Amino acid sequence: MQYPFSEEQLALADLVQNFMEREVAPVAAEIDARPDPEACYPRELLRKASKLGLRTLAIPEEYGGMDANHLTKTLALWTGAQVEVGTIKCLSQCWKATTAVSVAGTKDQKDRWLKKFADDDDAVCSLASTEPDHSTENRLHGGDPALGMRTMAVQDGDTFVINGAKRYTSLMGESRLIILYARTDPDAPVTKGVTAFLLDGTEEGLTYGRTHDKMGYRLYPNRESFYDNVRVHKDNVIGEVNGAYAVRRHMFRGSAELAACNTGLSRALFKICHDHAKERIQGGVPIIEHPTVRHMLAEMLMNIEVAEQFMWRICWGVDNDESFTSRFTRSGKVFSDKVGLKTIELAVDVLGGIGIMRDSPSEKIIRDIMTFLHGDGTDSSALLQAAGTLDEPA
Amino acid sequence: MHVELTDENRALQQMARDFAEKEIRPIAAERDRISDPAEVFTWDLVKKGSALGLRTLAVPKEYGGPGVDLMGQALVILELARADGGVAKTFSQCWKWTPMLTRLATEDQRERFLKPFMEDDTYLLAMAGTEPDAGSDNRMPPPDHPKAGWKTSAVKNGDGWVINGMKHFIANGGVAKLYIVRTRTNPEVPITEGTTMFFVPDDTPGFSIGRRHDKIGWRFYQNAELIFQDCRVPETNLLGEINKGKGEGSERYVSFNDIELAANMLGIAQAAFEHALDHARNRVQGGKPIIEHQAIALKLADMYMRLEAARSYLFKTIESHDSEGAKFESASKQLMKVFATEVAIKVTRLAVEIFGGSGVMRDAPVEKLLRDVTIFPHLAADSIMSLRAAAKLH
Repeated sequence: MQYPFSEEQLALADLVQNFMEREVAPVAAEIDARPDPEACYPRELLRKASKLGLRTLAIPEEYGGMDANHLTKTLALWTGAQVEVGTIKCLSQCWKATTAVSVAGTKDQKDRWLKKFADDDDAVCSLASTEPDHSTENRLHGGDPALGMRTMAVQDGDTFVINGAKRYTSLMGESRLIILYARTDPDAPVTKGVTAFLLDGTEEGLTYGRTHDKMGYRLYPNRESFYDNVRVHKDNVIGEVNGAYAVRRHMFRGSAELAACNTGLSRALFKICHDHAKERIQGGVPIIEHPTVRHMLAEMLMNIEVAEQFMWRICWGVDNDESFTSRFTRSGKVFSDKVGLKTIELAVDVLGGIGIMRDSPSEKIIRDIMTFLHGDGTDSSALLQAAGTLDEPA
Repeated sequence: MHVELTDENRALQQMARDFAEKEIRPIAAERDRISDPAEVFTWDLVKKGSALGLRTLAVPKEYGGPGVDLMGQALVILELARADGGVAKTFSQCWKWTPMLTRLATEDQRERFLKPFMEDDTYLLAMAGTEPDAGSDNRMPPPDHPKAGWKTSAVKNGDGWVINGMKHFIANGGVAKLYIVRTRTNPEVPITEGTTMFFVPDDTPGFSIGRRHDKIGWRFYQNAELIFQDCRVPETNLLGEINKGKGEGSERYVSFNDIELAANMLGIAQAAFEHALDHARNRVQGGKPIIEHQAIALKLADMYMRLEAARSYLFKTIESHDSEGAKFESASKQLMKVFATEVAIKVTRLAVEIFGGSGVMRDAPVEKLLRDVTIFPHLAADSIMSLRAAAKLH
């Protein structure tokens, strides 16, 4: 852990690691193997994490949290992802959404939403944006009003009436703090015609569809949701009406979240390979004594370290640098995807057939790495977005 | 830059950028094309750089220098190399061997060599190790030939030493005023136990320069053969201790190498990226600037991503170096240089690709950069370093 962390940050990382190893590691493989995706949600584990304060890490101290900055959150996530990525990602989703409320919410919204969220050990968060026919379009729309999300919110007195459908939404169905994105101006591009609403998941007219059956990250389920004349009071609009993208740009100008997941997973895979290479004997010697194997291990470590340093630099930028742009973040995420894939390729080479067997811990990690390569936008769409801003200062 | 910089280093970076823009960039291409390798070099740039303190940048304050830290040195290399990698290396080669003059030399030697180094604006430093038959063997003698390595000998004779042999590929060869020469003083043992270093000023009788090597790139940077024919130096020119001129006794002062090379090639690759971006904005094909074609935009974003990844690794390696001091000798540093090499080659290659056919023409700016980065894979023995690093994973 080369980056200069404070003693508090290192203590938190210890806490996360102890929790993950003591509580999560012994049961993770069994939960992951359950065929019903809904049954994979780690409710009990998250309750235990909540008692330790991990669920409310990013909430301001006055509302009962730890007010963690971006570096702290990323360190906690990266540490946890080395043990079990789904569980810690559930917590990270809470950090992300509560940060949005504390940064963009009014005093009244913070009082009503954050306190309640902090007090309920079972509460988690969702950010609902993706729709069946509108995903990459929400990012790459070229200013065309015809493109992008179609869930509509129409004002009626003091409330907005919402109709539509979302899918692939993380933790939907379990969430007690949902940030829902809906179209309030269909004649403007999404960047100027979408509003963010706060929902608690129990609203009349809100129903849940199937839980998606994913390859990996099974402890972090995603679910469909449907909106049939769901009424949301205007006091629960976060930011300005039609201003959701402005809020999002401000809030998520930088995030090392998926980079932390990818590098944490890759590091875990590297460790399995390294241990294996010291124990596995072929050609009369532990295979680590074969230069080719050592070379592959060195290459894995090199790639992972680069992606990690990129990630810490993103954190530093988010926390300290006003000129920081999301281009840097997107590039760091895409890079960590490439490192994850390369790590898999080399790991399968070092581990041989053992690596892909379901009784080897490497098998779950490989599935996990491959699951969110498209997260926060496919790599090519993220790079295209980055390409559009190459003339702006770094 | 998304990295924490001191005010001093910011100012230094700006100074280097100005010098590179005003003095180096306008003449770099034209000098590169001169066919006689010795003629590519010009004292004018060395003198102008010296006046700004670029030659003596690494001399500590206690010896009258500016005592610029490693981060400052890397920033200067990045800027100079953006205009010409060979010019940057001509200066940084002096920084690399400065610790020999300040920390290992005796007081008498500092008087005779450090003093003129500080005062004479054409005083360049060189270190001579490599020989025609001793390259990688100097770093990793083969197991069945432990006494492999340089053969140039030094024999005690009265109150001095007589050196015989030949060195080649020696950096700053032919232009340095002072050579630090590694000689064999005991051929019966491995070079780590039988090497002694001597100061050899360029006007020492019996010492002469052979060929100037004619390189594919980095042409401003001079490399030459050194010939020693009964070259006699006084006992007072012996640097350090007898038979301790290789290994821990001499090399703990120079862990600078990988950082220096990485900064240089990333400066070159940054220039390639900037040229490609500029070209893509101005070159029209298919009815629009080619950057508006997704295939081109993606290439540019990919180049940006790789450059930021490598810079992240570089900056963090420097931070580790600073916090761990002279003992720093982790696998990361060597892997960082290997990684930077991959990035530099990939990025300059992509730049040439974006230029299309014009990219390989000598009147486009990128073919020189591709030739320049071709230098790096062998420097500091790329694959061997990576294997050495891998060996430390145990």
